Amino acid sequence: MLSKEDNDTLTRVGPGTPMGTLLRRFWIPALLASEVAQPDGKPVRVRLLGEDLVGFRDSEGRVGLLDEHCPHRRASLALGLNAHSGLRCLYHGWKFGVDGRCQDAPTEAAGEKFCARIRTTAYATHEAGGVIWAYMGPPEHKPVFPDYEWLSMPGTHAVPFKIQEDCNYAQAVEGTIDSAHAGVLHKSVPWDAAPRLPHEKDLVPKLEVEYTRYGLRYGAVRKFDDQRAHVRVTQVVLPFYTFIPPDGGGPRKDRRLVNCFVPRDDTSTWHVQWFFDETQPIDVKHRIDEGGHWVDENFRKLRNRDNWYMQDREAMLTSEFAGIRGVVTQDHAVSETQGPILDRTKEHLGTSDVAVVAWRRLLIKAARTLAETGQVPPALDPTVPWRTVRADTRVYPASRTWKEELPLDARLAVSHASSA
Amino acid sequence: MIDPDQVCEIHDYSADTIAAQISRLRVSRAAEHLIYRECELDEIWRLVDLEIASLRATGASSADAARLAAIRDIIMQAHDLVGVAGDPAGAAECLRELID
Repeated sequence: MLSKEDNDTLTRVGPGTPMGTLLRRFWIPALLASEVAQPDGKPVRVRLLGEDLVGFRDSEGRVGLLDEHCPHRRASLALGLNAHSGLRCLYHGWKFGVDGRCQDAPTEAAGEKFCARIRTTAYATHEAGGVIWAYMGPPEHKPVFPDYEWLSMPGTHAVPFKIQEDCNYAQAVEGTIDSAHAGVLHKSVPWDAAPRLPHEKDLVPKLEVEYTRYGLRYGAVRKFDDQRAHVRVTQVVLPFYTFIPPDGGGPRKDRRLVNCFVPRDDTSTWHVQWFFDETQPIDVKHRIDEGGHWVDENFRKLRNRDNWYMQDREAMLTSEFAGIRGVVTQDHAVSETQGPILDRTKEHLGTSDVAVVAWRRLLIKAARTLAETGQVPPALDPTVPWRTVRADTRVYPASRTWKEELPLDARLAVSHASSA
Repeated sequence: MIDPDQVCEIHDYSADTIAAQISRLRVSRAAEHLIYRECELDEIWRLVDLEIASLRATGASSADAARLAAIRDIIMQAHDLVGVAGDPAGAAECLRELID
């Protein structure tokens, strides 16, 4: 459990909060690139870390991310005209470039002189992996963009998905570092039926955590047979990523998943996922069906809390335990029904929640350290070799440990000298 | 030999369990050890807390609930000493109150 103070530190992300300040020191996913695909195309409203922003691609193909509201009378710039290298407000015609500079204010007598004094909030952007990333922190602290392995793969082999999750980001993250739930919530047969998959057969894996420079990794170890063990190693990367290992068999045995939980605000989250497979293209249709990525034009689930996730109680008895179609929908159903912000003073954790506890403590400590000393976590160090951070599944001799089988790159160890 | 690098199964909040927890806290140094100890204390705490809830539901004596609530508070203190303050020795000292 957490105290109320710790829970507030973990979950509050607005400007000026310890966690909001920490998160703003990272590059974060803001939009799918496909949302602003065309130069001079339709601007897009996007809420990030409690701030209302507008994204657009200008005539030169540059992506801007500005305060949504015009500094003049606060009308939404998302209504405006995107043309001639800027976004022009529909109300009085003030026009802004991707750098936030005012380029025109036709209703102001002072004209260019007036414009030179006006600048709206504009955040740095970077396009990679089919996503527009934003940096919302102090410009002088802008970090090197992380070189995650999937970001340089062809668009066919690394595909992003986006869906809104209606709860605080922290409980959304925790849902993906909770190995014990996989064999229950995602059980592929009814509760009373014999389990099919390894994680359904053994609901109590042995969990071990290892802190790293980028966050932590944990192994969920199960008995495979008398001589061998089975481990799934999940990477938990600051501030809100989880790298999920492949399933270990079948046609998608090399497919990996990265989850990213970007706070929209304190009570809603952008759940961005990348599926990547260096050996073959991602089967997008299969993934939509498997995950339940059925969304409207605003990335809201069609199966949601309002319609109780279209839970099929007959299917619970005949098909699969949850009675909710799609792995993502199942995850969102349990996270969203924990409440907009999970009250961690009322929960009852146990030893199977060790990875959840480890992540919380890491993030709370990082936020407080930044607030108290100005020091950022080593995950922002430009020397972190991101391409070596990978989730994995392995069957190995039971006489060895998973850390021996999948050793941590020495450059990623906490003891490695940091230059951040 | 106590291995602080493992999460131990917790089945009750008996004096033996608390004594074993104190022993593990005393040899815990690494950040991972502290997380394991915090989780074990979470487990002990929930056993007590759920028993308090059960007592209340069954209308048992308030004296029993009060005794358990005092135990729960001490476990919470130890939990926060190891989890928030990073002080396993302090947590061990705190728990001693339950068995002395």
